[in-house]
Amino acid sequence: MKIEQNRWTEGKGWEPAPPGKLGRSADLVLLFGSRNILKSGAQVDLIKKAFPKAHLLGCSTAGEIYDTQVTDDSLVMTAIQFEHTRINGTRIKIGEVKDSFQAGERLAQSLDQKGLVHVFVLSDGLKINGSDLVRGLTKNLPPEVSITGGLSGDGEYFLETFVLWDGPAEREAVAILGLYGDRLKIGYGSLGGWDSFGPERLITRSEGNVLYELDGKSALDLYKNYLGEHAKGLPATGLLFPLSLRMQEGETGVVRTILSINEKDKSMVFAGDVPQGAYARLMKANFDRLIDGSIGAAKTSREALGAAPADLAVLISCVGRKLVLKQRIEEEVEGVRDVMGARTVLTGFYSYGEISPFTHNAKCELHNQTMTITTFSER
Amino acid sequence: MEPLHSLLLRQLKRHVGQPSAIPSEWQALVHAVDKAYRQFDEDRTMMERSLDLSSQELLHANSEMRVIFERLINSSVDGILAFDRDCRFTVWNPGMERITGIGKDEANGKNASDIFLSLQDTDEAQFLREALRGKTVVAKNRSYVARGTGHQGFFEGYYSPLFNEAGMIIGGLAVIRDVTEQKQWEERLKHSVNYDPLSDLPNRNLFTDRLTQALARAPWSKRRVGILFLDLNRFKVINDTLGHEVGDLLLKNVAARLVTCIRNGDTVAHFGGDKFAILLEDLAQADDIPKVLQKILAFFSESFLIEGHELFTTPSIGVSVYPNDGKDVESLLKNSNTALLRAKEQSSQYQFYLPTMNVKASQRLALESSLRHALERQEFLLHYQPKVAIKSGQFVGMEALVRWRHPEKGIVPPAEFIPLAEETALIIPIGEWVLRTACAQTKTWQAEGMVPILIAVNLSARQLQNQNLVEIVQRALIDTGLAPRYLELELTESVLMQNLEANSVSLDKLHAMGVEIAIDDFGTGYSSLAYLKRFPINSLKIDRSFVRDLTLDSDDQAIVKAIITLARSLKRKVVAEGVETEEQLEILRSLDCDEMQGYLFSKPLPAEDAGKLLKENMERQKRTPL
Repeated sequence: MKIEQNRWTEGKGWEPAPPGKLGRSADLVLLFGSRNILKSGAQVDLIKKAFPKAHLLGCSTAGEIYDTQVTDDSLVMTAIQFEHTRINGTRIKIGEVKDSFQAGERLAQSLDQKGLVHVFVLSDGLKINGSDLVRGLTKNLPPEVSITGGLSGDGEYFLETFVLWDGPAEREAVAILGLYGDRLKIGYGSLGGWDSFGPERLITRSEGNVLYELDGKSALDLYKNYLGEHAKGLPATGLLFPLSLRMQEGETGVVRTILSINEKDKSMVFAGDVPQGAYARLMKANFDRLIDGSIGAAKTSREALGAAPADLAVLISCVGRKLVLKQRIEEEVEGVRDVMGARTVLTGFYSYGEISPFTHNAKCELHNQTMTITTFSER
Repeated sequence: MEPLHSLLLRQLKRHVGQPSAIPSEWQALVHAVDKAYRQFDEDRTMMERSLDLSSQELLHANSEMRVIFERLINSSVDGILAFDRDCRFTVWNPGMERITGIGKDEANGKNASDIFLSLQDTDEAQFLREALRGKTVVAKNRSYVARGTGHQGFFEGYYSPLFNEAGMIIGGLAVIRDVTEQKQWEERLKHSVNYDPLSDLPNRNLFTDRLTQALARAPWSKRRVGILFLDLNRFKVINDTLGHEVGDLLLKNVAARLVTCIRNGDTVAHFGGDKFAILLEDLAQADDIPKVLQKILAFFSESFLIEGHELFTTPSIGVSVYPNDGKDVESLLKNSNTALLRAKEQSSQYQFYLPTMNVKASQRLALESSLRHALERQEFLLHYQPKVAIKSGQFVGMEALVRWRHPEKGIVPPAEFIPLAEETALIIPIGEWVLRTACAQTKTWQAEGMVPILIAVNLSARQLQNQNLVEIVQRALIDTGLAPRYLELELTESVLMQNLEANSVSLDKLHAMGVEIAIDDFGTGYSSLAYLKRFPINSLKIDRSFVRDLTLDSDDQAIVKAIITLARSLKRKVVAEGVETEEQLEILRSLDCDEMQGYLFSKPLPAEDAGKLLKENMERQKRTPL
């Protein structure tokens, strides 16, 4: 596997410049950038020309990861030339949130499943029920095929998100990449590091990923009360208090974060299911445990590959972590670097949702507030 | 531009100088530090706010739970307690106070052993320790003696460990339920299943149990087991005449006496009514039984004084002995009953079972079964025996006599089936059939132009006791169209004497209707002359035993003469039964007896023959008018 990585910013242009060393030999280019850069399309066209034979896969973000640096308003490009791996992909438009399951099904069915090893998915970050999307994918793929990916982001704005596959970046789209070949090794890991606090609350009214009431009281009012003056920053500030959900006693909880709010009916839209009858607890950040979480995810994803280091690690981390860690956000990427070693190329983005099994052999799920890492290597 | 964070501004002033003095290449750094300071402040403020809010929420939830919890445990009728790792009580609800008599203030903080020792209970503390070892204990049949009242109650306890979130045992809980009342009910129920409610003696159920156990032991001990089945003679008469209260008191007294007749370990049982059974276990020889029998009979020879009445009653006893008379409960009970029936038949006080009895009993059973179907199969018929006026030689009446033509046995004599019919109450429908048939026949003869005669029908004790008797007679007369004055009802003295009051009412009504009443077998029963005055009696029938020896025995002649004289003076008619010879007729004629009945004139005849005789007699009379 040969990799070329460059970053574009308004002030500094491409560094290193110009991109395109791999030229016609690149098979795949990953592009993670701010909404506006992708929307304008100028840099994407430039990349397309520099790597004429490569498939382009990318999305808008809430922060781009370039090595151990986290930047906003940039475009991070990672061109990959595989030696033993074949790839294929597609993208579809999704109509409505309730069609998320069907979208997953259609995407999975579009892939030739023979020799398929791994599926990497990038989805619209707002108009989607990530849980349903994952269920649609899982149901239509062989169990041995692993799935990772994430929901695209829009900074702290939560207005519009974009996904691109070969053509221009588009809203309300989901793209999927299939990787084939028995010499490709994939590792993945996902960890949060948030602490639950306060009383456990029963979800007394919800529909799919829309939450109305906890313990018979407005969930939105509860959030506003806890956020105080930061309530005006909703929905972004809602990410400071993710929800931990569990259906039964002793069950490992899943974490859910807010995508949007609706003042009219006092509802809150979450990135995944918030089932009625489940128990929810507010969560709060613990700086050290967040960084430990990233390191833990890195270890899990690296161990899966064995002794040799990964060629590439794609880091998809939740925007909520970035909102909390602020200037210290790079500490979690540095933690990943320490685990991966110097040889591994790091890229990735800050997302509105992460897709991965927690660990190997676990069921693929939509996560929130985690650092989710997928490692690639060819032997 | 916003002023710098107050802390940063102070630090800059102290260590660098006025902010305006800071070199421009440092401005970006100062700005980043300023932002970080502000962010930390914001984070801290929000964290403090959220912790404050959540602690308020938890406090609220906690106090709500506490109220509910206290309400629940205080309103529970069960005793509820909780204890810590050292077995010291931390919760002691009002239910516990009620059960133990120990207040919450005294119990809380005290060690379980100390508290329960004061309730004379040592197990309780043990259960608590088991709960602390992680076990869930269910203890039934606990009993405490409550402090203060000294009342002993019965309880069920449920003990379970209490875990903290980490799964460590931090104490335990117990729920103590008062089951005293339930237990009392159970005991009462158990008692009522096994004891007679009147005498409180073991009932048939318990007797059968004990007999079963005795029979299980007997083969090992090689001992005998005796079963005495007993009932009281004339108990019904006492019950009917003196009332049920006296009857019940008599049964209680009998029960008490029977108990004194037996050894410890033997059983006197009361099977209800006047029936008792005695189980004699572990008998070395059968000779032991007569000793017990003698003892029982001796006790009965003394009178019972009940509510001012001095009552005598005697038992009839049937005896069966294991192993000779049966090896199982059922056959031993059945055979002692058979022996009892035999004792009653023979009017003996007791009777040991004999194998031949069962043959007779089964024959009787078969007879009873066919008797039940005899009416519907129309196996009964009537014979008629004429009554003749002695002076005129004229036909004056007929006595209707029932016969049973059994499909296999032929004609069964009345003596064999009437007592059985009496006993099984079949006499009621049979008696009604006899009455209606006799009335209908008489009416037919009248319709055929015969001289009207009086038809006599016998009444048994049961028929007389039947409350519908008057109605039955009335309906028979209406349905057949026979005038009441042609019907005569015959009853014996002993039948008349049972239940005097009721009989008197029925007979008065019948008499008022115009029906005649005759006393059958006069001179053999009570012969209490008072009833001749009391009841509306038209005629007396002299018993055949006096008539039979009339020519030989001067005593009988004297009796017959006395009866006739008595009847004359009371203005009653006299009929002699069983007249077989001319000599007997001559004497009766000389004694001025009114009428006679017997083989001398005619045996009982089928209806057709009786009709012919009636016709001949009528024609003869026409030829030779008096």
